[in-house]
Amino acid sequence: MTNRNTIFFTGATTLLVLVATVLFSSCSKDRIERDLNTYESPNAYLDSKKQDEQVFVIDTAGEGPIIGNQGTTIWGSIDCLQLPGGAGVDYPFIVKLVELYTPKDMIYYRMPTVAAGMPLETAGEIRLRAEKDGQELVLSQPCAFKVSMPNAAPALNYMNVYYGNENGDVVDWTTDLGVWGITQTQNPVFDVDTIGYTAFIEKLGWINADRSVSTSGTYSITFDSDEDDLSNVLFFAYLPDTKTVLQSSAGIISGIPSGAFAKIVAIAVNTSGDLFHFHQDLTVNGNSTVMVVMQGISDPELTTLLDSL
Amino acid sequence: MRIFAFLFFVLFASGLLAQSEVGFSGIYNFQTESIGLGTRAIFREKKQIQISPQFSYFLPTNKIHEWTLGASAQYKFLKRKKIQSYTLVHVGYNRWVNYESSFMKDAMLNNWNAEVGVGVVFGKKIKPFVEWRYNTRHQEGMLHVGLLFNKNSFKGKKEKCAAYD
Repeated sequence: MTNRNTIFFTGATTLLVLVATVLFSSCSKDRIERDLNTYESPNAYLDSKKQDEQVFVIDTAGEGPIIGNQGTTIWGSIDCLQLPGGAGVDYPFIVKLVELYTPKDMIYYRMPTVAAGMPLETAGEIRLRAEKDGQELVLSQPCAFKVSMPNAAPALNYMNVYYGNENGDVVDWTTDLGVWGITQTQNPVFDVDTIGYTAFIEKLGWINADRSVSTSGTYSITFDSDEDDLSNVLFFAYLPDTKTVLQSSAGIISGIPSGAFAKIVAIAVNTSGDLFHFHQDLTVNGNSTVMVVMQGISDPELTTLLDSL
Repeated sequence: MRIFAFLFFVLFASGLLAQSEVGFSGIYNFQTESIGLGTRAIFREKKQIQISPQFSYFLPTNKIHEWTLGASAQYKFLKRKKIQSYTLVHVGYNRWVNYESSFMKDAMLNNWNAEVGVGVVFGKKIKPFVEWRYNTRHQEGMLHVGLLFNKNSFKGKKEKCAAYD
């Protein structure tokens, strides 16, 4: 190839590459792809709003009990605590408590009330943990802590002790202590005292005063939108009749009892950090699809909305 | 659509009669991931600025089913032996047949499109060409690859007559 040919091909190729680069940089697939509003996960926002874990330093064998900010009352003995390897514990040690008694707090903490896919009626969730020098302590067997969970109108022999089985980000509730190799020795049904519901718990961790919701069947709600990309939107359903909190998984809320009245709330945050929501009330009589249009909302407005559930 | 196809056929035939160039191409739209077919005539073949009526059709099997009838103005530059490059501006009427299946908020059946591009054509008789075009309305890039024919395309080499040796 001569020098002139080389110059020609170099020039032509450079021009084509330049033009293609400039044009490709502003290309659009709008005709075949949805031009949707996109959002990021609201988890950071929800974390900023969730209930703090209360920390109690136990340095003497005082009178007790431990009382949480919302009235959860705990009676326990250091003799019931041990390190994971079985060694005993001496003072001081730490007790940590999270109290979730409202749908708002359960939503902020992303702690739905579901056992093996079936909805639970709840009177509240707590997480009770103990630590010694950074090591998580366990209850020795057979031993139990007494817990009272505040309730204005507790029903005798109604709520059961459910334990949270943590699997990644998901907590599944179960009454079966055998999951952790623990033999049940205490009454698994909550008694009633002047505080509310009271029971002896045989495992530290997530505790829930629950009752399985009786239903002839359960349905699912799928969410779709012509305007919003819902892949990072979190959906919750609150069923006020049973105080059940359900959370979406892969954009679907399932396990809704037949005929249940549900308050749907969706939460998302856009790339600028602005808060968005969707809210709809409906009665669920079959599998359904809800069309969603996310709308901007302020933090105080969303807080008020969740308080009103 | 038939009337437009007929009109284009007339243009195509007139291109032949005027001893200009005619051609066809395969088209790929990178953004809609669609394959199309195109035909064109080129007038003022020897001039610096050429006029080219064109018709393109994107098949119903594509995500976008549409056809466009329009014309290009082409400006030749960087000629080297049998290789000629050019820039172009194309304006055309576009009928987006399946616009209703698009999620675009302002999708319409009838549209006016404008495109800019560059191309390279090779040879003198049967002339392969490659053309990169950009649809400014939908912000889509397309590649046209085809062949152009002129009056000399199917003529053999002239043989010397022995009587004149």
